[in-house]
Amino acid sequence: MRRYLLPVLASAFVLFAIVGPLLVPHDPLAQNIVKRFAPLGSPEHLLGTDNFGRDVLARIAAGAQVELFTAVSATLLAMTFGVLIGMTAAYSRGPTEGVLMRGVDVMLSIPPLILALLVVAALGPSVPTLIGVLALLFIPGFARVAYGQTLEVRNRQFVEAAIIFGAPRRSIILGQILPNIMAPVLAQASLTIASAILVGSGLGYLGLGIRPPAPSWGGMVADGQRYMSSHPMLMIVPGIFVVSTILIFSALGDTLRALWDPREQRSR
Amino acid sequence: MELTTYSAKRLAIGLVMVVCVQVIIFLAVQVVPGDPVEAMMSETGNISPEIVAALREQFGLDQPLPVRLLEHMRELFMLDFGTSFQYSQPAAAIIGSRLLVSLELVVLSAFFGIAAGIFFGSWSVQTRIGNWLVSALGPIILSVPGYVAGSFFVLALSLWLGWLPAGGMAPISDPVEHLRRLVLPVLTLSLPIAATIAKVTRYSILEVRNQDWVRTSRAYGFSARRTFRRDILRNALTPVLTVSALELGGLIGATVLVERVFNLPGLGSLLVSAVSVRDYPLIQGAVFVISAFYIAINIAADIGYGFLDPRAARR
Amino acid sequence: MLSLGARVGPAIAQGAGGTLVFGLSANVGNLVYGPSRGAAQFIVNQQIHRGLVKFDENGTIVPALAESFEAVDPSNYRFTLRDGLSFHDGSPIDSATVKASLEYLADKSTGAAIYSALSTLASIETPDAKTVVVKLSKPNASFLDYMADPNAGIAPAAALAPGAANWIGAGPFKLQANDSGVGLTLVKADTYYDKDSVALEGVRFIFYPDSSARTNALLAGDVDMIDFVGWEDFERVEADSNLVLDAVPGPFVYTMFNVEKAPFDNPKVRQAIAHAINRDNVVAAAFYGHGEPLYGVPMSPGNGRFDPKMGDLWEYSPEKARALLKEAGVDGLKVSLLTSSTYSFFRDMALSMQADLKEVGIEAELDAPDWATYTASKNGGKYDLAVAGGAPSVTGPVYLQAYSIGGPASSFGSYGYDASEIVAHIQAGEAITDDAAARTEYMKAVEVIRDEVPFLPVAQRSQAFAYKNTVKGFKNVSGFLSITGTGYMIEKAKVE
Repeated sequence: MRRYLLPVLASAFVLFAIVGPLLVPHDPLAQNIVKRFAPLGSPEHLLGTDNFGRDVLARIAAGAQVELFTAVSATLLAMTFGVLIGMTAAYSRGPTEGVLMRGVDVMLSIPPLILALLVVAALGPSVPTLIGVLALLFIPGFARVAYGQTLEVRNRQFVEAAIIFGAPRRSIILGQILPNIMAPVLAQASLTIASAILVGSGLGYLGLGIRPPAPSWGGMVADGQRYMSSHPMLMIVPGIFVVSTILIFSALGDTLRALWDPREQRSR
Repeated sequence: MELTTYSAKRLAIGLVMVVCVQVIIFLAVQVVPGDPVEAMMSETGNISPEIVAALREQFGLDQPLPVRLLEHMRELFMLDFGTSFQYSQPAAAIIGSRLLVSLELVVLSAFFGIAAGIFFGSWSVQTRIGNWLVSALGPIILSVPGYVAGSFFVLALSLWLGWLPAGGMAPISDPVEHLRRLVLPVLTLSLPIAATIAKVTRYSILEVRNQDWVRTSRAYGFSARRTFRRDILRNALTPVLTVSALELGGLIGATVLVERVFNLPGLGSLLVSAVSVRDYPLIQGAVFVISAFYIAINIAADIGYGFLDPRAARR
Repeated sequence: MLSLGARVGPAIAQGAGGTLVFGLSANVGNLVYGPSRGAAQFIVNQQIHRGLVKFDENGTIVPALAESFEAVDPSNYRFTLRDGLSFHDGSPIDSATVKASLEYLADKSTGAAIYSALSTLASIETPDAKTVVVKLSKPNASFLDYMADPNAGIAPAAALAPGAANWIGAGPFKLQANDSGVGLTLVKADTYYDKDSVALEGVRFIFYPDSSARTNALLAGDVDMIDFVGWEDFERVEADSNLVLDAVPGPFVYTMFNVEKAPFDNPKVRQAIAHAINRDNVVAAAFYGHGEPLYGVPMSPGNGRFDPKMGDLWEYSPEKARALLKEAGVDGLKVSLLTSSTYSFFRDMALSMQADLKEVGIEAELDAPDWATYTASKNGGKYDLAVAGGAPSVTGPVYLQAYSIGGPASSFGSYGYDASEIVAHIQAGEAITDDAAARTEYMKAVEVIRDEVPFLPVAQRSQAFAYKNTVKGFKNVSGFLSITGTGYMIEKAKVE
């Protein structure tokens, strides 16, 4: 059951993020002060309106797009750079390896909060900034996975043979090693998407997310919190969306990892 | 490599990393726009060049960058973070008082989270309901961001039911109230720890249980209970402890969302406010404490791991 | 010994006013002499420090360290100090101490907030230890207002240096403990000149920078009083019969223009903005409806130097705005709108304005950095439009000067604006003692403001304190003075 349910739910979410904004008959940015704080289930505004009278459903849908886009882009970016760093380090050995992997350790030791605060203070809150911050945070994870896998693959006979026969470096890395480390890297990626949504929405909550007035779920929770006692739904609704999305993607990630990651399969 | 040599090497690398983080942050805060003197004078209409110059000199900002960096490193070597721009007090004292709050949160949350995690983890391999709890509830708990959980607790338990205070800190001189204040933040922080630890405990126990010597122990006629307590659990806890240490390492700087929700004066909120007015000494000091804590815990975990498994140290 | 015992006795008996636990809206970790650091610092300053005069609950100037004062003429003020004044550490205060403090505040290089009022200082004479005569080179009818400002306390010599700690004062309470990041503990000072009328034993400030956490603390009974009640929390406080919500029309929010460059170098475009902003929406969205729209310059209630016409300069009319833009020959404008993410009402005000600007065909892109970047961008003129908050420390129209003079000279004013015409009219008004005659001069300044729009007032926000009904004797002072005058009311409060 679970095998089918999760991909279906995840696809439903992706679909919602892509076409949702088109289906909701409201502009997520359109203000209508007269109709502010419309309650849940209003005929025109299914999920009510916020303090500007903006339609909450439209903002949730637009927010879904932002959350998904930033999480996926950040994951792809982190994967590209992380794999590059990890593979280069493991393949070249020697001082390059030391510098690269220690660099990764240093990146991990920088508190994520200060990283986000400084990058956002320098560049201002925006979608590219958010993607950049998230990518920076997740690069070390990918680098470590790629590094460990490359070390293992490199010692296998077919790679050693290729090296002895003088195959060019490029073709060994791209042709032999990369395909063989891809499964665990993809498994890591599927888990990272959920984490990226989690961390990204947290940054939105702290006001370090995207440029207002564009909606982000974390920002909606933070705004809703101000009206928590009189209009609790403004906080509860985006909160539920954040939680269920992370839940779907992390469960999907777990499933994919079980399928792709050889280490997982061995331990079963 | 011998374990002592290994430990010494790890420590040396750790120190270099702390210094690297300091240099990176030092340079990064210079690149970021915004000036500490201007931020400080933002409520005053007339900012004369004279006062700006006087304050810059007082803060040592008139010196060239390399000189300031060297001076910062010299101070850091003596564990002196300088004087906070906005508070005119030693940054170390301010960070110290905030660190206590963060440490209290982290230690309590880690304690309850790890204890609950081990309990539920071992319960899950023994009973059906425990199994269901950990495998169904665990992922859900891990999907709830701390700020969402915290806000919901405030809404439900404080505003609607009125059971617990919504936030703030009570002085330690009033221990009952002090602890009452910490219930919701600690609950918020410890839930995901418990879920992670339960998962790790569960996998670890399942793995140990399948090993030959466990079966031998049972064959010798020792009771299932005794075997579980004395042999399985004890051996299964090694990876649990490693994971716990790593969870703890990142936690000290990651409490900011919970501090925000519950209005607690911890290190995270200090860092946020220090960055917003560019209080360089406070930023550097707070980053030092958070990164040093993280690095130290990692080294301890590595050395501990090497101690338990000498092969790791040789690698 | 006997006399000492007699002095201690009544002090204990009067201490029945209890300790006021105050939830303060910002961290006040440090006091320095001169510069202004915002409303929360004012409140602490007013407990620790005291100037020559102060405001009473109606905003009237009353004697403080000066037993009496006299405006010989608008450029000549004579103060007579009380007998036996001293700071918390027992060191005496005489006319020389006052002279040193005022000269420090008059020195532009110290960053003193009230520097502009003292910039015309000609001389300070101290004929004897109790008499201070301040002579100004130009008349200034608002001089006494500045002397009552929370930043105009008299300070000991040790505090008279940029950045020096300034915790020893002549105010009603003295610092007992500074728990950095958490709070301040103040106890009644027996050196205070009016100690017999102070009922409180002390004031404990606890910092609650987060607005809803502050309200929660009051609702939970953790604190007796809070300042700066969040607008979205007004109803919650009012719903509790044990609490008092003390709200008054307070400071204002306004828009600044970068007049150094197109399009806002053109007064017509600035006028268009003045007609484009839907003030009611700003009040509803940013202040949860708790505020008043402004269609002219904000005025203090009860100050006879304002003319009601000054409050009626522009009306909300998108059509007029579009016509003015057309007249100015601009079309398809794209501008940046600077605000700060640090304060939600700043951001919400900008969001509301963004929608209004779109209505008249102006695409405004929001720039919402943190406070330090916001300040740097604002002071450096890195914006087209910016939102800002104003809390004048004087009640008279002279305050308009600081908001008209352009940056970088005044960080309150629009970047690059030359306000010499407005300043000339205001200075002329300040020289006139008669209110009615002065009004005519001020009105000339306001007419320039109407046509030139050097800054655009948008709304006056409701400023509220909230407290338990067991707190008696406290009152939120109405108008701008809610920020700069209300702190003086704490010493009159008691907790039953």
